[in-house]
Amino acid sequence: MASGFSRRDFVASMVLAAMLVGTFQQHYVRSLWTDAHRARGFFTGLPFRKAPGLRQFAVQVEARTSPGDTIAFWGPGRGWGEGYGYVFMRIAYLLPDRRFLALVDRQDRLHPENLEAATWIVAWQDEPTVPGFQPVWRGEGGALWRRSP
Amino acid sequence: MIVLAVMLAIVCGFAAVRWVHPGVRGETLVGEAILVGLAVPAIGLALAAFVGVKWSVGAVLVASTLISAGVAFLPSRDRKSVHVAERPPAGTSTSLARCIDALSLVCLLGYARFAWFAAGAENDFIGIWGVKARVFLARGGIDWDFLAAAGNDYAHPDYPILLPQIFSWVSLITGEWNEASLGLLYPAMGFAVLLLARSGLRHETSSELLTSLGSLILLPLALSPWIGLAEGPLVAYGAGALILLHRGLTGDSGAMRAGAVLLGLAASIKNEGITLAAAVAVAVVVLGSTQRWAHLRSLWPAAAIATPWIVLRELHGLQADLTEGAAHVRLLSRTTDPEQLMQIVRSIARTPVGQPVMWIAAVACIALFWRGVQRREVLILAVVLQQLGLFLVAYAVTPNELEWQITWSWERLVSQVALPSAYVAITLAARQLSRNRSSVEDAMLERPTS
Repeated sequence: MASGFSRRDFVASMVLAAMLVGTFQQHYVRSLWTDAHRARGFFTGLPFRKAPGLRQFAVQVEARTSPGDTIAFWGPGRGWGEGYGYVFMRIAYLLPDRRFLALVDRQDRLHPENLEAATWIVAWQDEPTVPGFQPVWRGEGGALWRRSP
Repeated sequence: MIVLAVMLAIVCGFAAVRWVHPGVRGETLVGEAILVGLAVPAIGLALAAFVGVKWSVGAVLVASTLISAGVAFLPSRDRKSVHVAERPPAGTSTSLARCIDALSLVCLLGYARFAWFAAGAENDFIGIWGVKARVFLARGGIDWDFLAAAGNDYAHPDYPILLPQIFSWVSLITGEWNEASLGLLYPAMGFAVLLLARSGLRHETSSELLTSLGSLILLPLALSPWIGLAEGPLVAYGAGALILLHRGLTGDSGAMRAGAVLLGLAASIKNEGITLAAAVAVAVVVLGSTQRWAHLRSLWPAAAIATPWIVLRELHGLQADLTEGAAHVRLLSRTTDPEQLMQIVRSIARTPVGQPVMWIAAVACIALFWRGVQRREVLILAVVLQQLGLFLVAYAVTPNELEWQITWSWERLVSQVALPSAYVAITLAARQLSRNRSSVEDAMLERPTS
């Protein structure tokens, strides 16, 4: 004969039910009905929403430089958290076969040695005047400088 | 071409598991094969880089074949050890269990769809995991100059690189960098750890209904919402390791070794995986039985897999941001100043932990059914508590602004220990219910009791 459903069994059932309620993610089920291509388009653009035009700019930079080129990045803001870091991370990701060098790091420490090591400067929403470099191209949102021979 | 990548992972996985966990079958075999199979080609790329071979499709295939074949035919002393076969459930499978499994499958498919369209959107994917994979691919190997370059500390160069290497080998095989394809790795890993959990629960309860219910509860904890980040893989490898070690401590030496391998792979995903491995070692020694030293020795695969990266990053001077500058001063200051301690507490209290109801229920369950806890569950909980403690130490040491650090990391960190915590809670509750299983199932199905 089976033993009865005890109070401890009831408590165990209730905590399992509570855990089920606590973990269930209904939006995973809703994803089945989401327009996947539209959603894909949204999420693809999401990480670049604060730098509109950056991806197109990166294509232009890629066309004018070569794999392995060392490129110092001159970006917006005077600190990593003021926009510089946001754009730098993205352009380094978009052009991984170019060697991008940051002129300021996450702790807002300057790295002028990276400018010394670069053969190009890519500037986004800024207009640097750097001795030893000459402008070779200006596009929407940014420009490209090459080290003078 | 993604099919080719999947096939390679499956072949590598099944071959390697032959040595890792001899005689294993069913859900455990598939779960382990997926996780190990994803890692083998990545390890192959690392070895290729070490010997100076440029990364290519050929390099991936040759290295993977050599590793899989070499491991598959290693002599295994455990062949004589009794692998505790998965017991068939003593009760009959119920249609309710299958309905629950169907719901789990629906959730998994929905998550897979989400992972496909949300892949590549996370800031840390672009800045850490994805950029490393892309840079390594572009260079044809591990780019130590990129990792060590001044100004590239945003990419956390000290982090282990198994995940970027997984991204790299999949991209090599598929012939393109496709974020959506990489996103599908996440449901695969989540599914794998869920299979391990499911097998473990069936072993503990012998109830299909409780196994299915427990799986449904654990499923969202196995499916990380941060597509492209390391949390999902860390949960898969880390929680998978703990689940297997939980079983291994009953005398299943194959599960012990498999757990140790997954622990080493977890330590190769993120720094928290390294602390997880250390926490397991400490828990085994402090809380272990009279066989503690044998159990500690059996964790050697974890050390073997994790150590190379730890050595290499030291040799290349890749420093963690947490330890830069006067870390000991920050630690002392924040832990001895009540106001700074309270700031940490307040910031954590203000930050959503994710699934608070689950946590409350799990803690209540563990407390209520503590009498039924076994040493191996205590060991897992000790590991969880150590990890939580180390997260707090990290906050005390961080050079970053505290509120910012906690706000952007606390929920992700807690998610790393959610699955093993819930697994212990479910095991205890299910153990209680299994004592009177037939009456419970009868009550739920409104069948008259005999």
